[in-house]
Amino acid sequence: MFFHIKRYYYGLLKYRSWLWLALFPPLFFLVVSAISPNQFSIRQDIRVSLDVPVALMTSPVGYMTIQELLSHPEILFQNKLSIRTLYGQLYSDIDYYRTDPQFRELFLAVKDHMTLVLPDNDKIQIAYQGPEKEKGLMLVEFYSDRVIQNIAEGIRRSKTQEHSEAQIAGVAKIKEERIIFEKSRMWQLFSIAVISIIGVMILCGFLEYRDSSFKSERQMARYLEVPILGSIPDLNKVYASMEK
Amino acid sequence: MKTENLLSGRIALHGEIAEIKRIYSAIETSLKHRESSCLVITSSIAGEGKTTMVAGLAAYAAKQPGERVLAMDLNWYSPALHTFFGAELNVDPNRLKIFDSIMDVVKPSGLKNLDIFPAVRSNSDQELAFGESETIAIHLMQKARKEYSLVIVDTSAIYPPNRRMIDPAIISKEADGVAVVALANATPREDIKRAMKILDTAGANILGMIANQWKNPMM
Repeated sequence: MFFHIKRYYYGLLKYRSWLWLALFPPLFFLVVSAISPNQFSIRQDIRVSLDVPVALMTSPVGYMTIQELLSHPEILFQNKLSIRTLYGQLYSDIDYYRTDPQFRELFLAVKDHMTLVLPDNDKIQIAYQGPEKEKGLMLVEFYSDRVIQNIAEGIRRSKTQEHSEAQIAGVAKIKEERIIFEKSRMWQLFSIAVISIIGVMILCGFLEYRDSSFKSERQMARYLEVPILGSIPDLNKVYASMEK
Repeated sequence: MKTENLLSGRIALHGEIAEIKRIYSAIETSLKHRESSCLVITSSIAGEGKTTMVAGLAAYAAKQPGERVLAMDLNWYSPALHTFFGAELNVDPNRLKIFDSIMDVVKPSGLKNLDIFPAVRSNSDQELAFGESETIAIHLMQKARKEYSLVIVDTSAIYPPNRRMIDPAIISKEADGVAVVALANATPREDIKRAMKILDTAGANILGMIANQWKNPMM
Protein backbone atom coordinates (compact mmCIF):
# COMPACT_ATOMS: atom_id res chain seq x y z
CA MET A 1 0.00 0.00 0.00
CA PHE A 2 2.74 2.41 0.97
CA PHE A 3 4.56 1.60 -2.26
CA HIS A 4 1.56 2.70 -4.31
CA ILE A 5 1.14 5.90 -2.29
CA LYS A 6 4.83 6.64 -2.79
CA ARG A 7 4.52 5.88 -6.48
CA TYR A 8 1.49 8.19 -6.79
CA TYR A 9 3.40 10.95 -4.99
CA TYR A 10 6.33 10.65 -7.40
CA GLY A 11 3.86 10.50 -10.25
CA LEU A 12 2.42 13.85 -9.13
CA LEU A 13 5.94 15.28 -9.07
CA LYS A 14 6.68 13.87 -12.50
CA TYR A 15 3.52 15.29 -14.07
CA ARG A 16 3.31 18.45 -11.98
CA SER A 17 3.41 20.59 -15.12
CA TRP A 18 -0.11 19.29 -15.86
CA LEU A 19 -1.41 20.92 -12.69
CA TRP A 20 -1.66 24.16 -14.64
CA LEU A 21 -4.66 22.63 -16.39
CA ALA A 22 -6.57 22.98 -13.12
CA LEU A 23 -6.62 26.74 -13.62
CA PHE A 24 -8.65 26.56 -16.80
CA PRO A 25 -12.09 25.56 -15.45
CA PRO A 26 -12.19 28.32 -12.78
CA LEU A 27 -10.93 30.90 -15.29
CA PHE A 28 -13.48 29.70 -17.81
CA PHE A 29 -16.20 30.03 -15.18
CA LEU A 30 -15.11 33.57 -14.31
CA VAL A 31 -15.04 34.61 -17.95
CA VAL A 32 -18.38 33.01 -18.83
CA SER A 33 -20.14 34.39 -15.76
CA ALA A 34 -18.70 37.84 -16.48
CA ILE A 35 -19.83 37.94 -20.10
CA SER A 36 -23.14 36.09 -19.71
CA PRO A 37 -26.14 38.21 -18.85
CA ASN A 38 -27.10 37.43 -15.28
CA GLN A 39 -29.65 40.07 -14.52
CA PHE A 40 -32.76 40.81 -16.51
CA SER A 41 -34.83 43.92 -16.17
CA ILE A 42 -38.33 43.46 -17.62
CA ARG A 43 -40.75 46.37 -17.55
CA GLN A 44 -44.29 46.64 -18.75
CA ASP A 45 -46.00 50.05 -18.97
CA ILE A 46 -49.68 50.39 -18.19
CA ARG A 47 -51.39 53.59 -19.17
CA VAL A 48 -53.62 54.76 -16.32
CA SER A 49 -54.26 57.94 -14.29
CA LEU A 50 -53.19 58.02 -10.67
CA ASP A 51 -56.61 58.52 -9.13
CA VAL A 52 -58.18 55.47 -10.75
CA PRO A 53 -59.62 53.05 -8.12
CA VAL A 54 -58.10 49.57 -7.73
CA ALA A 55 -60.10 46.77 -6.12
CA LEU A 56 -58.75 45.26 -2.91
CA MET A 57 -58.58 41.46 -3.24
CA THR A 58 -58.90 41.01 0.51
CA SER A 59 -62.31 42.67 0.53
CA PRO A 60 -65.42 42.15 -1.59
CA VAL A 61 -66.18 45.86 -1.74
CA GLY A 62 -63.00 47.72 -0.86
CA TYR A 63 -60.82 49.69 -3.27
CA MET A 64 -57.92 52.11 -3.21
CA THR A 65 -56.28 54.50 -5.65
CA ILE A 66 -53.26 53.77 -7.80
CA GLN A 67 -51.32 56.34 -5.76
CA GLU A 68 -52.04 54.38 -2.60
CA LEU A 69 -51.15 51.11 -4.30
CA LEU A 70 -47.80 52.54 -5.31
CA SER A 71 -47.01 53.18 -1.64
CA HIS A 72 -47.84 49.54 -0.75
CA PRO A 73 -47.06 47.37 -3.77
CA GLU A 74 -47.00 44.21 -1.60
CA ILE A 75 -50.82 44.42 -1.56
CA LEU A 76 -50.68 43.54 -5.26
CA PHE A 77 -47.69 41.22 -5.40
CA GLN A 78 -47.74 39.30 -2.14
CA ASN A 79 -51.43 38.70 -2.15
CA LYS A 80 -51.72 34.97 -1.46
CA LEU A 81 -54.75 34.60 -3.69
CA SER A 82 -52.78 36.03 -6.63
CA ILE A 83 -49.88 33.74 -6.03
CA ARG A 84 -52.17 30.74 -5.64
CA THR A 85 -53.81 31.63 -8.94
CA LEU A 86 -50.40 31.94 -10.57
CA TYR A 87 -49.29 28.66 -9.02
CA GLY A 88 -52.43 26.99 -10.37
CA GLN A 89 -51.63 28.27 -13.85
CA LEU A 90 -48.08 26.91 -13.70
CA TYR A 91 -48.65 23.63 -11.91
CA SER A 92 -51.77 21.56 -12.37
CA ASP A 93 -52.24 20.32 -8.80
CA ILE A 94 -53.04 23.19 -6.44
CA ASP A 95 -54.42 21.17 -3.57
CA TYR A 96 -51.05 20.66 -1.91
CA TYR A 97 -49.63 24.07 -2.61
CA ARG A 98 -48.95 24.77 1.06
CA THR A 99 -46.40 21.97 1.32
CA ASP A 100 -45.00 22.30 -2.18
CA PRO A 101 -41.55 23.94 -2.18
CA GLN A 102 -42.33 25.34 -5.63
CA PHE A 103 -45.06 27.52 -4.10
CA ARG A 104 -42.58 28.99 -1.65
CA GLU A 105 -40.09 29.46 -4.46
CA LEU A 106 -42.70 31.33 -6.47
CA PHE A 107 -43.64 33.47 -3.48
CA LEU A 108 -40.01 34.41 -2.89
CA ALA A 109 -39.45 35.19 -6.56
CA VAL A 110 -42.38 37.59 -6.49
CA LYS A 111 -41.39 39.11 -3.15
CA ASP A 112 -37.73 39.64 -4.09
CA HIS A 113 -37.95 40.60 -7.74
CA MET A 114 -41.25 42.33 -8.49
CA THR A 115 -41.87 46.06 -8.09
CA LEU A 116 -44.40 48.68 -9.09
CA VAL A 117 -43.01 52.02 -10.21
CA LEU A 118 -44.30 55.33 -11.52
CA PRO A 119 -42.29 56.42 -14.55
CA ASP A 120 -44.81 59.11 -15.61
CA ASN A 121 -47.96 60.69 -14.23
CA ASP A 122 -50.11 58.88 -16.77
CA LYS A 123 -48.68 55.42 -16.46
CA ILE A 124 -47.40 52.83 -14.02
CA GLN A 125 -44.83 50.16 -14.62
CA ILE A 126 -44.81 46.51 -13.52
CA ALA A 127 -41.11 45.63 -13.19
CA TYR A 128 -39.11 42.46 -12.72
CA GLN A 129 -35.42 42.59 -11.76
CA GLY A 130 -33.88 39.13 -11.41
CA PRO A 131 -31.83 36.31 -12.89
CA GLU A 132 -34.55 34.41 -14.80
CA LYS A 133 -35.74 35.89 -18.03
CA GLU A 134 -38.61 33.52 -18.81
CA LYS A 135 -39.97 33.60 -15.29
CA GLY A 136 -39.69 37.38 -15.25
CA LEU A 137 -41.67 37.68 -18.47
CA MET A 138 -44.34 35.38 -17.12
CA LEU A 139 -44.63 37.31 -13.81
CA VAL A 140 -44.77 40.70 -15.54
CA GLU A 141 -47.48 39.48 -17.89
CA PHE A 142 -49.47 37.91 -15.05
CA TYR A 143 -49.36 40.97 -12.79
CA SER A 144 -50.02 43.35 -15.67
CA ASP A 145 -53.21 41.44 -16.41
CA ARG A 146 -53.96 41.33 -12.69
CA VAL A 147 -53.62 45.10 -12.31
CA ILE A 148 -55.88 45.75 -15.27
CA GLN A 149 -58.52 43.35 -13.87
CA ASN A 150 -58.28 44.94 -10.44
CA ILE A 151 -58.64 48.42 -11.92
CA ALA A 152 -61.73 47.33 -13.86
CA GLU A 153 -63.20 45.83 -10.66
CA GLY A 154 -62.22 48.95 -8.70
CA ILE A 155 -64.07 51.20 -11.18
CA ARG A 156 -67.12 48.94 -10.87
CA ARG A 157 -66.99 49.05 -7.03
CA SER A 158 -66.56 52.82 -6.91
CA LYS A 159 -69.62 53.22 -9.12
CA THR A 160 -68.01 56.09 -10.96
CA GLN A 161 -68.00 56.31 -14.71
CA GLU A 162 -65.52 59.17 -15.05
CA HIS A 163 -62.42 56.91 -15.10
CA SER A 164 -61.26 55.10 -18.19
CA GLU A 165 -59.91 51.61 -17.82
CA ALA A 166 -56.21 50.86 -17.81
CA GLN A 167 -54.46 49.75 -20.95
CA ILE A 168 -51.23 47.91 -21.69
CA ALA A 169 -48.87 50.40 -23.35
CA GLY A 170 -46.64 48.64 -25.85
CA VAL A 171 -44.66 45.43 -25.33
CA ALA A 172 -42.57 44.61 -22.30
CA LYS A 173 -39.07 46.05 -22.44
CA ILE A 174 -36.30 43.59 -21.65
CA LYS A 175 -32.86 44.74 -20.67
CA GLU A 176 -29.94 42.39 -20.04
CA GLU A 177 -27.31 43.31 -17.54
CA ARG A 178 -23.96 41.79 -16.84
CA ILE A 179 -22.22 41.73 -13.51
CA ILE A 180 -18.50 41.25 -14.01
CA PHE A 181 -17.95 39.79 -10.58
CA GLU A 182 -19.93 39.41 -7.40
CA LYS A 183 -19.17 37.81 -4.07
CA SER A 184 -21.92 35.24 -4.45
CA ARG A 185 -19.85 33.53 -7.11
CA MET A 186 -16.95 32.81 -4.74
CA TRP A 187 -18.41 29.56 -3.46
CA GLN A 188 -19.02 28.27 -7.00
CA LEU A 189 -15.52 29.37 -8.01
CA PHE A 190 -14.00 27.57 -5.03
CA SER A 191 -15.98 24.39 -5.76
CA ILE A 192 -14.95 24.40 -9.42
CA ALA A 193 -11.30 24.98 -8.46
CA VAL A 194 -11.34 22.09 -6.00
CA ILE A 195 -13.01 19.74 -8.48
CA SER A 196 -10.60 20.69 -11.27
CA ILE A 197 -7.56 20.16 -9.01
CA ILE A 198 -8.91 16.76 -8.00
CA GLY A 199 -9.57 15.97 -11.65
CA VAL A 200 -6.02 16.86 -12.67
CA MET A 201 -4.62 14.82 -9.78
CA ILE A 202 -6.66 11.86 -10.97
CA LEU A 203 -5.30 12.46 -14.48
CA CYS A 204 -1.72 12.48 -13.12
CA GLY A 205 -2.43 9.22 -11.31
CA PHE A 206 -3.80 7.73 -14.51
CA LEU A 207 -0.72 8.83 -16.50
CA GLU A 208 1.55 7.31 -13.86
CA TYR A 209 -0.51 4.11 -13.84
CA ARG A 210 -0.06 3.85 -17.62
CA ASP A 211 3.72 3.96 -17.22
CA SER A 212 4.65 0.31 -17.54
CA SER A 213 8.30 0.67 -16.50
CA PHE A 214 9.47 -1.05 -13.34
CA LYS A 215 9.62 0.96 -10.15
CA SER A 216 11.19 -1.63 -7.89
CA GLU A 217 13.18 -4.85 -7.95
CA ARG A 218 10.22 -6.68 -6.50
CA GLN A 219 8.12 -5.75 -9.50
CA MET A 220 10.90 -6.97 -11.82
CA ALA A 221 11.18 -10.29 -10.03
CA ARG A 222 7.42 -10.89 -10.01
CA TYR A 223 6.82 -9.93 -13.62
CA LEU A 224 9.92 -11.44 -15.25
CA GLU A 225 10.22 -14.48 -12.96
CA VAL A 226 14.03 -14.36 -12.95
CA PRO A 227 16.45 -13.72 -10.08
CA ILE A 228 17.46 -10.14 -9.39
CA LEU A 229 21.24 -10.19 -9.20
CA GLY A 230 21.39 -6.73 -7.74
CA SER A 231 20.66 -3.08 -8.16
CA ILE A 232 22.95 -0.13 -8.89
CA PRO A 233 22.02 3.32 -7.62
CA ASP A 234 22.58 6.69 -9.29
CA LEU A 235 26.35 6.40 -9.62
CA ASN A 236 26.82 10.15 -10.08
CA LYS A 237 25.66 10.67 -6.53
CA VAL A 238 27.76 7.77 -5.29
CA TYR A 239 30.90 9.16 -6.88
CA ALA A 240 30.14 12.63 -5.57
CA SER A 241 30.00 11.30 -2.03
CA MET A 242 33.06 9.07 -2.48
CA GLU A 243 35.13 11.91 -3.81
CA LYS A 244 34.32 14.21 -0.90
CA MET B 1 24.19 13.48 -19.94
CA LYS B 2 25.30 9.87 -20.53
CA THR B 3 26.71 8.12 -17.52
CA GLU B 4 29.94 7.07 -19.22
CA ASN B 5 30.99 10.68 -19.85
CA LEU B 6 30.87 11.39 -16.17
CA LEU B 7 32.41 8.09 -15.18
CA SER B 8 35.46 8.13 -17.43
CA GLY B 9 38.41 8.65 -15.15
CA ARG B 10 36.53 7.15 -12.22
CA ILE B 11 37.03 3.53 -13.19
CA ALA B 12 39.24 2.89 -10.18
CA LEU B 13 36.31 3.80 -7.92
CA HIS B 14 34.00 1.42 -9.75
CA GLY B 15 35.45 -1.55 -7.95
CA GLU B 16 34.69 0.05 -4.58
CA ILE B 17 30.94 0.34 -4.95
CA ALA B 18 29.11 -2.05 -2.63
CA GLU B 19 26.28 -2.74 -5.05
CA ILE B 20 28.70 -3.83 -7.78
CA LYS B 21 30.45 -6.13 -5.34
CA ARG B 22 27.15 -7.77 -4.47
CA ILE B 23 26.25 -8.23 -8.11
CA TYR B 24 29.64 -9.79 -8.79
CA SER B 25 29.17 -12.16 -5.88
CA ALA B 26 25.75 -13.22 -7.16
CA ILE B 27 27.10 -13.77 -10.68
CA GLU B 28 30.09 -15.71 -9.42
CA THR B 29 27.78 -18.01 -7.47
CA SER B 30 25.55 -18.48 -10.51
CA LEU B 31 28.54 -19.32 -12.69
CA LYS B 32 29.46 -21.97 -10.14
CA HIS B 33 33.01 -20.71 -9.64
CA ARG B 34 34.34 -22.11 -12.90
CA GLU B 35 37.97 -21.80 -13.80
CA SER B 36 37.22 -19.88 -16.96
CA SER B 37 33.92 -18.08 -17.36
CA CYS B 38 32.36 -15.92 -20.00
CA LEU B 39 29.60 -13.52 -19.00
CA VAL B 40 27.52 -11.47 -21.44
CA ILE B 41 25.89 -8.24 -20.27
CA THR B 42 23.03 -7.04 -22.44
CA SER B 43 19.77 -5.08 -22.22
CA SER B 44 16.49 -4.74 -24.05
CA ILE B 45 17.09 -1.23 -25.39
CA ALA B 46 20.06 1.12 -25.58
CA GLY B 47 21.07 3.36 -22.70
CA GLU B 48 20.18 1.09 -19.80
CA GLY B 49 23.69 0.89 -18.29
CA LYS B 50 25.31 -2.19 -19.81
CA THR B 51 28.72 -0.61 -20.32
CA THR B 52 28.71 0.91 -16.83
CA MET B 53 27.98 -2.52 -15.44
CA VAL B 54 30.68 -4.23 -17.51
CA ALA B 55 33.30 -1.68 -16.47
CA GLY B 56 32.34 -1.92 -12.81
CA LEU B 57 32.25 -5.70 -12.67
CA ALA B 58 35.54 -5.98 -14.56
CA ALA B 59 37.25 -3.46 -12.26
CA TYR B 60 36.11 -5.32 -9.15
CA ALA B 61 36.70 -8.83 -10.51
CA ALA B 62 40.30 -7.92 -11.40
CA LYS B 63 40.96 -7.28 -7.70
CA GLN B 64 39.96 -10.78 -6.70
CA PRO B 65 42.82 -13.17 -6.02
CA GLY B 66 43.65 -15.44 -8.95
CA GLU B 67 41.49 -13.58 -11.46
CA ARG B 68 42.63 -12.38 -14.87
CA VAL B 69 39.84 -10.43 -16.44
CA LEU B 70 39.11 -9.29 -19.98
CA ALA B 71 36.40 -6.70 -20.66
CA MET B 72 35.30 -7.10 -24.27
CA ASP B 73 33.34 -4.53 -26.19
CA LEU B 74 31.27 -6.36 -28.79
CA ASN B 75 28.92 -3.41 -29.26
CA TRP B 76 30.54 -2.29 -32.50
CA TYR B 77 27.45 -0.36 -33.55
CA SER B 78 27.63 2.02 -30.58
CA PRO B 79 30.89 1.38 -28.70
CA ALA B 80 31.49 2.97 -25.30
CA LEU B 81 33.64 0.66 -23.15
CA HIS B 82 36.89 2.20 -24.36
CA THR B 83 35.88 5.59 -22.91
CA PHE B 84 35.89 4.15 -19.39
CA PHE B 85 39.55 3.19 -19.75
CA GLY B 86 40.81 5.99 -21.95
CA ALA B 87 41.61 3.56 -24.78
CA GLU B 88 41.38 3.88 -28.54
CA LEU B 89 39.16 1.74 -30.72
CA ASN B 90 40.59 -1.19 -32.69
CA VAL B 91 41.01 0.06 -36.24
CA ASP B 92 41.17 -2.92 -38.56
CA PRO B 93 38.37 -5.48 -38.44
CA ASN B 94 40.08 -7.67 -40.97
CA ARG B 95 42.98 -8.18 -38.59
CA LEU B 96 40.55 -9.99 -36.31
CA LYS B 97 40.21 -12.80 -38.87
CA ILE B 98 43.87 -13.79 -38.77
CA PHE B 99 45.32 -13.22 -35.29
CA ASP B 100 46.89 -16.14 -33.41
CA SER B 101 46.33 -15.14 -29.82
CA ILE B 102 43.83 -12.82 -28.18
CA MET B 103 46.78 -11.09 -26.59
CA ASP B 104 47.57 -9.63 -30.02
CA VAL B 105 44.38 -7.59 -30.08
CA VAL B 106 43.73 -6.64 -26.42
CA LYS B 107 45.00 -3.54 -24.67
CA PRO B 108 45.98 -2.83 -21.06
CA SER B 109 43.33 -1.03 -19.06
CA GLY B 110 45.59 0.68 -16.57
CA LEU B 111 44.31 -1.56 -13.76
CA LYS B 112 46.14 -4.66 -12.61
CA ASN B 113 44.87 -8.01 -13.98
CA LEU B 114 42.40 -6.29 -16.26
CA ASP B 115 42.72 -5.96 -20.04
CA ILE B 116 40.22 -4.59 -22.46
CA PHE B 117 39.22 -5.45 -25.98
CA PRO B 118 37.90 -2.21 -27.48
CA ALA B 119 35.31 -2.28 -30.20
CA VAL B 120 36.24 -2.14 -33.84
CA ARG B 121 36.01 1.12 -35.74
CA SER B 122 35.31 0.24 -39.32
CA ASN B 123 34.92 2.45 -42.35
CA SER B 124 33.22 1.70 -45.66
CA ASP B 125 36.18 -0.01 -47.36
CA GLN B 126 36.85 -2.21 -44.34
CA GLU B 127 33.28 -3.16 -43.56
CA LEU B 128 32.69 -6.79 -42.65
CA ALA B 129 30.36 -8.91 -44.72
CA PHE B 130 26.85 -9.45 -43.45
CA GLY B 131 26.87 -12.12 -40.71
CA GLU B 132 30.67 -12.13 -40.44
CA SER B 133 30.63 -10.12 -37.23
CA GLU B 134 28.99 -12.80 -35.11
CA THR B 135 31.44 -15.40 -36.37
CA ILE B 136 34.39 -13.20 -35.48
CA ALA B 137 32.83 -12.33 -32.11
CA ILE B 138 32.33 -15.96 -31.15
CA HIS B 139 35.88 -16.72 -32.28
CA LEU B 140 37.17 -13.89 -30.09
CA MET B 141 35.23 -15.13 -27.08
CA GLN B 142 36.58 -18.64 -27.50
CA LYS B 143 40.14 -17.36 -27.77
CA ALA B 144 39.67 -15.10 -24.76
CA ARG B 145 38.52 -17.92 -22.51
CA LYS B 146 41.86 -19.65 -23.05
CA GLU B 147 43.80 -16.70 -21.68
CA TYR B 148 41.51 -15.19 -19.04
CA SER B 149 39.69 -16.59 -16.03
CA LEU B 150 36.76 -14.21 -16.56
CA VAL B 151 35.61 -12.61 -19.79
CA ILE B 152 32.91 -9.98 -19.48
CA VAL B 153 31.28 -9.01 -22.75
CA ASP B 154 29.52 -5.73 -23.42
CA THR B 155 27.01 -6.14 -26.23
CA SER B 156 24.44 -4.18 -28.20
CA ALA B 157 20.92 -3.94 -26.94
CA ILE B 158 18.51 -6.54 -28.25
CA TYR B 159 16.18 -3.87 -29.68
CA PRO B 160 16.01 -2.39 -32.19
CA PRO B 161 17.72 -5.04 -34.36
CA ASN B 162 20.26 -3.61 -36.76
CA ARG B 163 22.10 -5.48 -39.51
CA ARG B 164 25.36 -3.79 -38.54
CA MET B 165 25.32 -4.90 -34.92
CA ILE B 166 26.54 -8.13 -33.41
CA ASP B 167 23.36 -9.81 -32.28
CA PRO B 168 23.57 -10.44 -28.52
CA ALA B 169 21.04 -13.26 -28.77
CA ILE B 170 23.43 -15.19 -31.05
CA ILE B 171 26.62 -14.68 -29.05
CA SER B 172 24.90 -15.25 -25.70
CA LYS B 173 24.74 -18.93 -26.47
CA GLU B 174 28.55 -19.02 -26.48
CA ALA B 175 28.70 -17.53 -22.98
CA ASP B 176 28.31 -19.32 -19.66
CA GLY B 177 25.69 -16.86 -18.56
CA VAL B 178 23.83 -13.70 -19.48
CA ALA B 179 22.88 -10.85 -17.17
CA VAL B 180 20.29 -8.39 -18.43
CA VAL B 181 20.46 -4.77 -17.29
CA ALA B 182 17.18 -2.87 -17.02
CA LEU B 183 16.73 0.82 -16.34
CA ALA B 184 14.03 1.25 -13.72
CA ASN B 185 11.42 3.95 -14.24
CA ALA B 186 12.32 4.18 -17.92
CA THR B 187 12.08 0.98 -19.95
CA PRO B 188 8.60 -0.45 -20.51
CA ARG B 189 8.29 -3.86 -18.94
CA GLU B 190 6.92 -5.36 -22.12
CA ASP B 191 10.18 -4.54 -23.94
CA ILE B 192 12.22 -6.24 -21.23
CA LYS B 193 9.97 -9.28 -21.27
CA ARG B 194 10.29 -9.58 -25.04
CA ALA B 195 14.07 -9.34 -24.84
CA MET B 196 14.20 -12.05 -22.18
CA LYS B 197 12.05 -14.25 -24.35
CA ILE B 198 14.38 -13.79 -27.31
CA LEU B 199 17.40 -14.71 -25.22
CA ASP B 200 15.63 -17.72 -23.81
CA THR B 201 14.57 -18.89 -27.26
CA ALA B 202 18.15 -18.46 -28.52
CA GLY B 203 19.36 -20.85 -25.83
CA ALA B 204 21.07 -18.34 -23.56
CA ASN B 205 21.60 -19.14 -19.88
CA ILE B 206 19.93 -16.14 -18.22
CA LEU B 207 21.46 -15.67 -14.79
CA GLY B 208 19.16 -12.82 -13.84
CA MET B 209 18.38 -9.11 -13.97
CA ILE B 210 20.39 -6.15 -12.81
CA ALA B 211 18.29 -3.12 -11.95
CA ASN B 212 19.77 0.26 -12.77
CA GLN B 213 18.08 2.75 -10.46
CA TRP B 214 19.75 5.81 -12.00
CA LYS B 215 16.46 7.33 -13.15
CA ASN B 216 14.23 6.03 -10.37
CA PRO B 217 13.32 8.78 -7.89
CA MET B 218 11.66 6.24 -5.64
CA MET B 219 15.06 4.75 -4.73
